[in-house]
Amino acid sequence: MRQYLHRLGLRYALRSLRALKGGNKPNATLLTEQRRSGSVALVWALDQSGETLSEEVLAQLEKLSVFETVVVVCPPRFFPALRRAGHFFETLPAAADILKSETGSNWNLYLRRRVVRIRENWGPDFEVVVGPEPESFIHDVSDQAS
Amino acid sequence: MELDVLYLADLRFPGGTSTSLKYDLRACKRAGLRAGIIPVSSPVFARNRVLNRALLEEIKATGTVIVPQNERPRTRLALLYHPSLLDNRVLFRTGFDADVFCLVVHQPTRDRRGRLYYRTGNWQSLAADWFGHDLRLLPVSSIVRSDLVQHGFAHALHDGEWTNLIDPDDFPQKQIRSLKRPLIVGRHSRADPEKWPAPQVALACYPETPDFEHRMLGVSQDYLDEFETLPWNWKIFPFTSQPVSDFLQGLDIYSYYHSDRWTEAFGYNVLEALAAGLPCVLPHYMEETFSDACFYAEPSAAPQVYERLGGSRSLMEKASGKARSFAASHFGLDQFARKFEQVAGVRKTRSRVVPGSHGTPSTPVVMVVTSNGIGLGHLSRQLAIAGALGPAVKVVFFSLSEAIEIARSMGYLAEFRPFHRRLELDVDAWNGYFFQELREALGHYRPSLVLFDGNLPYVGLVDALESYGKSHNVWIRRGLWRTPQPESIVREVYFDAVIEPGELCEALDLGYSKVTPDSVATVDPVIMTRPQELFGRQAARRALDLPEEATLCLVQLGSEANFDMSLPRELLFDFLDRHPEIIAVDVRSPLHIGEHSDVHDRLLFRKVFPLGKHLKAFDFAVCAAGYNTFHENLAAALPTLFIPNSNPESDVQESRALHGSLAGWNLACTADDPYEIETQLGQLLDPDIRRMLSAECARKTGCWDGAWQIARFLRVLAQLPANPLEDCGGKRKGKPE
Repeated sequence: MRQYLHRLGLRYALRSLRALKGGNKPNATLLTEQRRSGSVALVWALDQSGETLSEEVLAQLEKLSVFETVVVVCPPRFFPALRRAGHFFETLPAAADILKSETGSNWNLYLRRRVVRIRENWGPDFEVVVGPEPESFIHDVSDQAS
Repeated sequence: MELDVLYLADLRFPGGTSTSLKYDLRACKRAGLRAGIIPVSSPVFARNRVLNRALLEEIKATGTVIVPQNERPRTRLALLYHPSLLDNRVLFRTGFDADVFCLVVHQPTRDRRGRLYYRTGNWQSLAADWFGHDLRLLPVSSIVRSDLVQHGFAHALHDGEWTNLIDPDDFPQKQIRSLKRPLIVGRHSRADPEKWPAPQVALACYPETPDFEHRMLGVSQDYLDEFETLPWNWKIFPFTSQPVSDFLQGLDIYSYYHSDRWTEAFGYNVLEALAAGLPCVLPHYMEETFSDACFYAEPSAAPQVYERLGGSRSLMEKASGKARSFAASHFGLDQFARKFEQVAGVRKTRSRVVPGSHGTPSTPVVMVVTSNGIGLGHLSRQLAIAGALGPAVKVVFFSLSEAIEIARSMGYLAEFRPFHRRLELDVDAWNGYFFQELREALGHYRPSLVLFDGNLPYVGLVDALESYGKSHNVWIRRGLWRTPQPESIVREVYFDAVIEPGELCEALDLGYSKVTPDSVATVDPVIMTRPQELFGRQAARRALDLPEEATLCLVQLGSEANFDMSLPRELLFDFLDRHPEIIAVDVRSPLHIGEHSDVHDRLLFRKVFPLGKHLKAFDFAVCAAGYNTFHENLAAALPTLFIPNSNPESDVQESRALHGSLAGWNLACTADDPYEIETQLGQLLDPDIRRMLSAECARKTGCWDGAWQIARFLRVLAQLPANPLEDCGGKRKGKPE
């Protein structure tokens, strides 16, 4: 019942959003016209590990099923599962990979700009964070890489 | 890095310039001097013209150093090795410090009608500003020296000349045959119209008469089209159809005349003929270079010289001996030390050292951009090449493939961007997005080399590469295109090289990807696991947790995302029902998620990538004929029934399966023919047939080095450091080219 009510809440919020924004996301480059008029949720799940997505992420995705478009930013090993569930996905390089690769001129700037573009390109109406916020992820990575 | 001589050279010249460099490198090594090369690109060629293969082989054979882009060598002598290279359109990415810097001038400044061959206006300032030296010109001959004096460069001329050299050992002495008619009179040159006299002059010096047969290696079709009918005694051969030394062996007399617009700066083709001991008949002006080693005549008088030579065996023998000894004594490899010392002078203390320029060089970055195919083909090929490049470079993947985790799990930094098809986006809108994403990544990673693997370079990709402008760009694309793709071919101009991984079924390739053969370099097939790297049968079965004694059939019918393989699967299950001794193993990538709709108690599922190392685990296979599976199964000598995916958007897999079956490497049938599938599966049960297929595959040796060949090519093109795993003779050492 609680889950149902939560969904009802999201639906109500979404209806309000649509009324306010008219579904207009002119900078959402990665959305078709049809998707721009629908609702978009962006899930930041940057430190997911293990073989499958965590229970917490799966629970969030269940809640977000009322959104027409769901985008998950996570490590690429979870792409097949997300694709199978009909979601879209993005990724940021993991801190360990960045350190090992010894590449890149300015990770802080690069990741900050990338996060901004992910938000712009998908134009989310709603964001969920499981694990670190993108900004603290960038801060940690930059600290380690410098 | 300390060198004796540094060549700043374009390695793409097709004729004498590259041949003379080749022998310079050999002579330099024999003289005990250390040579290095900084490859540069002359504006006289299209950007993606292929590198000269013979020169690449000599670089490898002599161990000549390709100066890594991020190093600054010191050298006694630096030679800018063609006059077209001292030009503000040429990009010099690598600095150097040289005691002496000279421009080698291989060509007069203009043709006989005054048309400039190359720009000379900025020579003085470019030499001073870009290289920190006064302009010093080294002509290759006195003909070029005279031209430079005539056109105002006397002040910059070096006293010496940078004479072209040759190794007579590469040109066996021609044995004089009995002088019966017709006499074989021949010539060779690259197929440039300027290398040919006007048709009426050609008919005078190469006349249509039963007394002479004229053999011509390298004639342009445009030139031949100027004749209403070709003389019946002219035999025309493409320039690359045979080694020059072989061609020369078939001649009695060498005769070279060219357009009246052209001046031959040196005449490397003549030097090759002399080295082979051929009497040479030439225009009078070339006496300045070849002295009394040749015969000189007006074109119309040349046939009289042929007659005189053909009428006297002793004259022919005398001329032959003189030709060869002249070539050896004036242009032999032992001349190198003399010309080097004359130009380099005494060893000096270093003149111009840029502060801070000799620190530890940073490791160059290679960015690999792969498109999003149905399978893992693009990614697999690039992983093979990345492995062959080795740890001396840092490889970053920037991919549209949703399977990018595979690259990440193999230790590479891997970025992903979504492809327009999955998003159902307008292609133009997506290209704008991709441009922005890739341009940002290029700025951040600063690659010196970008590899693109895909059939169509996206507008967003080429725009980003052009905007960045600091990388060598290479397009790697497999062939076997099903239809012409002109929209794709025109984008070759954005790349410094186009490389096509080899196809064993090349004979059936319709050639749509090689519309411009001069711009496409080909190598052996690119596979991730070469035969010598395969696990043995027992180890492979243990690694895959498969029974050690059973008869195992590998099943790889592809993702089936774009092609229906349900009939072959159904028939395979019937086959398993009838043959309880067989266990089938369906192998997918570790990323594959999905319910296994195929259920049979003797169909096992395994997830592994790359599979190549484990192929000895299987007794036979039933597979689609994708590029990687086809070549890896053949390399592993695994008896396979190939059932091609015939989707119109994919490559012509049918050709692979068909060619392989005709060659005896594999069995083949189509996915829609149940009777043929049944028959062929039955054949795979026969151990004799499996042995025969395996034996035929095993005969294909020495052709599995494509990834390593590409890596060697890229190291030259983009001045990347050597792979220590290859050079130290480690496990992955490649075969000699």
